[in-house]
Amino acid sequence: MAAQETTASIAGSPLRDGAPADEIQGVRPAAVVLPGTPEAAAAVLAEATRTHRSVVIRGRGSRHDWGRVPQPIDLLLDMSLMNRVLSHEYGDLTATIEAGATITEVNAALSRYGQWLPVDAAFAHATIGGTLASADSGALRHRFGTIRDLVIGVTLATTDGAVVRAGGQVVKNVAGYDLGKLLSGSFGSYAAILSATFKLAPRPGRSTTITAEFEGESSLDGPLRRIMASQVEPMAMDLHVTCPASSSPSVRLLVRLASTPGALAAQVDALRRMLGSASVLEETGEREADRWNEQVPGPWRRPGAVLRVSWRPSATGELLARLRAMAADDGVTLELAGRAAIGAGVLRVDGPDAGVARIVEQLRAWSPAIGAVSILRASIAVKTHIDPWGEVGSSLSVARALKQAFDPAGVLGAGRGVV
Amino acid sequence: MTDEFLREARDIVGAPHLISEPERLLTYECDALVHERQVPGAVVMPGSTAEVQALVRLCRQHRVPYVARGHGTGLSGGATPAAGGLVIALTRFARIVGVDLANQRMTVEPCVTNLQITQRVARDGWYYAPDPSSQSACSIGGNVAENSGGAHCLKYGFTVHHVVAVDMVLPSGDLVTLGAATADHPGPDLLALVIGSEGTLGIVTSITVRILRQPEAVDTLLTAFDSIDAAGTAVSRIIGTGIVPAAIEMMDRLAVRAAEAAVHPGFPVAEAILIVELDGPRAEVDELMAEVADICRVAGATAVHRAQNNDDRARIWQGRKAAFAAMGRVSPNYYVQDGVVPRTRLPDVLAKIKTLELRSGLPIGNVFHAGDGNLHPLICYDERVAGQADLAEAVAGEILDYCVGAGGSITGEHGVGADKRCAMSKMFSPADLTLMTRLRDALDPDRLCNPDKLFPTPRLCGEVPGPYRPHPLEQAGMGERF
Repeated sequence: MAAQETTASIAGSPLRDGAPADEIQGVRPAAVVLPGTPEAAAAVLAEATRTHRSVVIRGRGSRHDWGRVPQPIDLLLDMSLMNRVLSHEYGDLTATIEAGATITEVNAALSRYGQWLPVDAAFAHATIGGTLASADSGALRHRFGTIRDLVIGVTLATTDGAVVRAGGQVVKNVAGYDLGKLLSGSFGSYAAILSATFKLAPRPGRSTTITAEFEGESSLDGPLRRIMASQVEPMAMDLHVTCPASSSPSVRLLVRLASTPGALAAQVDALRRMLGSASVLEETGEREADRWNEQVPGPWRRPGAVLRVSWRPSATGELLARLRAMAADDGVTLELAGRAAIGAGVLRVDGPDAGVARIVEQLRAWSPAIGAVSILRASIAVKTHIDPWGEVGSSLSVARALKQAFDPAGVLGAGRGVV
Repeated sequence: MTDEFLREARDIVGAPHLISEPERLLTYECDALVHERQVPGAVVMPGSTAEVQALVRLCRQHRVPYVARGHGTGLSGGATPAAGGLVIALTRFARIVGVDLANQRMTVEPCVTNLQITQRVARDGWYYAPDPSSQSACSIGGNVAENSGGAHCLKYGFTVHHVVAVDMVLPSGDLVTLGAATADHPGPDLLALVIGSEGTLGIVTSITVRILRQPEAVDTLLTAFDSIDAAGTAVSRIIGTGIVPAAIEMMDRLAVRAAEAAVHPGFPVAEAILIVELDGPRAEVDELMAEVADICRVAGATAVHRAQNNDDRARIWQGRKAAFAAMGRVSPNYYVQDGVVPRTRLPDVLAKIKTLELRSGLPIGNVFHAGDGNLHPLICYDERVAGQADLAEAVAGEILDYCVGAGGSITGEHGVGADKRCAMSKMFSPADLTLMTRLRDALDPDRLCNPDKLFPTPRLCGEVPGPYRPHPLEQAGMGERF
């Protein structure tokens, strides 16, 4: 159903009825509002607070199915009209970008000066605001950190109707609380991100990706350890593991190297030596781009639940052995795509709900080798059976106290996030 | 501070770990911002996290303000006590708790120094990246409070990029763990709020950091220029070609003269010297360093010297890192400012500082992290000359106005603390400060945890003139107004 044109408005911003396409895990928002300015967005939040209406913030909806199944949603605050690059100070390697801009559009604009925001977009329409609020990350994290590591300033709309800034326009700045980073992982439950300023990077000159195929998980251990302890400096270093329910797993290590031409050749040689007997493929240009486009967004294109999982890199071999065993025992297909040296990535679980639930429970019980297991995408049945966020620990009281300070009326987030 | 409070505090930490004799308390009246002083009511040195929790609860019960203290090297008065308040000195929290090379983690207590972390793993080829100039003395707990950087933060970032988890005693006395040794702890990034919060949200008692593999090659280039502008042009061109150096530092003639007098690094005589450091794989560093040297020559460098070995490199860095302290060789007193401008605005702001130097009559030396626009003007004065100390402070304040006016910050790495709380409103609106204060109050409703720091208050900053109202401490007989 197409969006209805109406003349309704809230706090000066146009309002339309919620449509089936706006549904979040089966919950249809009563209305959708599209503010065009920071002040308009803040006015909507103030009005929602005054009238006790629950608000979910949306960029382009790439991750609308993440997190808990929402409580009833009165207003969907759609940020897609606020989608400009407000400034690109290329001499300073910084840019200020509105929350509704997509990473893909932003990087197309920044490339004019040979720069980029080095953040993976697992989804074609992943926005700046959504990526920050969901703390999403991909393979580039190995060198550049996550979007939280790149944000240097933020403008927020708060539930009291204020437009608030924290941080600044400069990379080095320790004045005041760093609210841009705090909002990372907040899932729209503290405030609406209106725009953010980022530290950029020069686009890498030349890069090559080496993909090594291993015979089972045990042959990966040695090379992985050698590379992590070496002085080779990859731009990305990813694992890709598929464990089908009824056949042997495939285990791959993807290492992307980027450097000056002469140095690149030396690093490729050093890396090949460390990979030992694994069968190795070297790709550049479009093939390389395709490889990464399969590695990061790939799992999301295939069916099944998707978990965000972190683990101790030293336990990688053991993790893969367990995944293989669990896939066989529970009759599910498992696909892990993650950062080998950091121990973080996504695990796709394709199988019946009961199998998904068992995988989550087994992984969560395996401490301390496994860090956090969050359910991003799964059926409503799974998400109502198991808390998508799991046990958050003692920090929960702090997160709640801050929620109370940001949003005393409790209108933001509809319970999708941790608080 | 009542006798009952002191007795209970003594019961918690044991008599040898409580200081209340007036002459011994003087040691704790300030940190490295020496002009901001307050004598505390007492100093305690707890020996366990449980003791810290008990002390915080005791302070809450008796409404006594408190501040945690590491090694007291902070430059913004972040560890200055509240008058008559309690100093919780974490001196006994100085152990390295665990090293996990396979997972690139190390867990330490807050009074381990920054350099001790690197020293512990250096022989195995690892290091901790943030390297403030005071790294041999400053505590990692203080680094967490201030989100310390260092010369190499241009490439490697700040404390917030290298600390993955902390244990913190909240102002309620509860102990929480923020972050985790593994990645992607769910929920808002509370750890990032705490790092750089200047001790206003709690007391950190354990810190887990990420350690990095030492780069294969580290090369340092020392170059000299006839003008600061020419050196600035070289910096812009280096960054413009897409090279991300590990560090780019600039010093002007006065700063070079001071460094020479103090530690004799053998810097060339010039209007400006530029130190550029590259690190990474050997072949990459070789290729890029040749390019950097060419850029410097084209920009008019009068001398280009590539460090020949580690000793030579250490000598160059010693000259740079000693620059602040060395000012004492050329001036009886000096005031260090810490402002930031977008790198491209450096020439305008330096020109303004030059004009200010001439107008004020106070010599100003400049040492700065040119790669990220972090200025450290050193304002020379003589406190024996009537009015010069005040003039120096006014000059320092005016430089901050230039920084904020250029779109920069009032502090790049030293923190706001007591020193710049009144300058916060130059950078942030009342709405910004109200929200930050609300978050602080959410965790510390009694405002006892390092009070009167970071945020401007009408009482201290005088923006809201009103009738005199006694501070609760004055009412309680715990402090008085001077």
